[in-house]
Amino acid sequence: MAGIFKLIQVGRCSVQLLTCKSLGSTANYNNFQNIINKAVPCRSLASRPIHKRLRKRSSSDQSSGDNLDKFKPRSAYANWNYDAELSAFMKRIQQNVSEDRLRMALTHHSFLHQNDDVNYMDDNDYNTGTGVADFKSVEDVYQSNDRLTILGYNAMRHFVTEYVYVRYPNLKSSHIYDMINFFMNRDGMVNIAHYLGIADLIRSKILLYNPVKTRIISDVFCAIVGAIYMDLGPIEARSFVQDFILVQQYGREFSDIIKIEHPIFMLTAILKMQRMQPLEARLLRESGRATHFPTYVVGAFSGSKLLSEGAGPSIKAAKSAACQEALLNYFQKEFRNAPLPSDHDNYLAEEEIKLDVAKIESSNSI
Amino acid sequence: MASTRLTVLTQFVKGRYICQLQRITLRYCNKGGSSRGLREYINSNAVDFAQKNPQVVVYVRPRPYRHPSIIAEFLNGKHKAISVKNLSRAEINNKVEQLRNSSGITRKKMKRWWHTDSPSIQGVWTPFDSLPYKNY
Repeated sequence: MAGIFKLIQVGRCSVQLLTCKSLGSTANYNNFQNIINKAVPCRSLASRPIHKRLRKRSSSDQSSGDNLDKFKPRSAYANWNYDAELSAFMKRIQQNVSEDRLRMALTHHSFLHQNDDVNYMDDNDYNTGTGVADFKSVEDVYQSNDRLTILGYNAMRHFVTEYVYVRYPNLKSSHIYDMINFFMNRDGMVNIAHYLGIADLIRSKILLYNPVKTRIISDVFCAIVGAIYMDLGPIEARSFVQDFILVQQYGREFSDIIKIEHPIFMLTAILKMQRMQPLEARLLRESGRATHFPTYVVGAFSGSKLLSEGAGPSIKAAKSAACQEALLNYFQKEFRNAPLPSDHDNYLAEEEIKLDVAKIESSNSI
Repeated sequence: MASTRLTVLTQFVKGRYICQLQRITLRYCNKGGSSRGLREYINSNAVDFAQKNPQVVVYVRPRPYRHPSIIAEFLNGKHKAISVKNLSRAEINNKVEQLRNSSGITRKKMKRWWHTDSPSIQGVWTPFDSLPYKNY
């Protein structure tokens, strides 16, 4: 048998990982157990009853209280090596963050000093564990992801804002807020985190009690962006945000993301600002005026130019719908592949950004 | 129902490529004849596979006196267990490559060739559907 095969035969339950990182290492069974116990913030594997039947019997005897058996984190299984998972995760997102920083980003502060004052096998702690760890020294803060989260969140928000601002020049400020809130949605971040396999890697005490904790998982996602920002620079962080945060927009209707209030008033104001002829709504088609379900189709005109059509059960509603449609067409106009200010290491002044002026003017007109 | 999951995934296809296979566990018996192919695979091919696909964690686990199997875990939370009983090394290699290329979505019969979020492509019927479009 080859060398790798010998490593495997160390113990009955032994597991040897084969990623290229640890191929050269000669980890034995004891080392492996140590890694597991360090990495996994849960009841150690050794403390579980070995025999499944025994375990079932003991759990049925203590019918009250022990809810933890229902949820078994992936890290509690025997085939789990935290180091290997970390390196695989880095290859998966194709970012070579330093390992220390990545560990920091994946560590929630509830994980630190968890073994000092809490005995995990005590049932009372399962039920009453709030998971809020007391900080014992300043160093603890540096080990957890608290600081990275703030950096990552704000960097992400910066990139998203820049993208929305440059790509959609016609948007009003409130709509920019709507877009940013859509991209920076915490549930969306949790979705992406699961998609990248982050959730299994998080080291947190709270997640053991409640595996679905939006705040913690999204914080870790932000912290990873912060880690990329710190180690690889803002350009890499931006491409990460573009590839994972900004793609949430695809397959979504623009009208679902931004809210348009008072469409008639807004369209009138915009037409006036653009020095176009004033808004005029004309009835294009109608059906069943005398019935319970009439339908009207109203066109929003500026002079003789038809801006859009809208349908509704009354003329007023149809007019409103037509104006909303016209506004949506206006706001949706975008610059694809527009140069972003953060493309360069030295941020350009706004006057120095070269845009195709003819293109802007053509898309600016409604 | 299958198409619902597909739409979630296509959202991310726009970004960078993510291999959907997360980790793979090779379970073999040291002595059994049915595990012979898997033992050969572990000796010769598994290291290559791990080096070429660093985003996949490969675990090897002995399972005495049982038939060999491969368990693949995917990013969408699903896992697939494949029995590789009595398979040769090349066949197992094919199986592993197949797992690496698959998305982990549970296979379902697609009853229709198209997908839409709204129940009708044409939209809700209006009295003006049959009328020719008028350009004002």
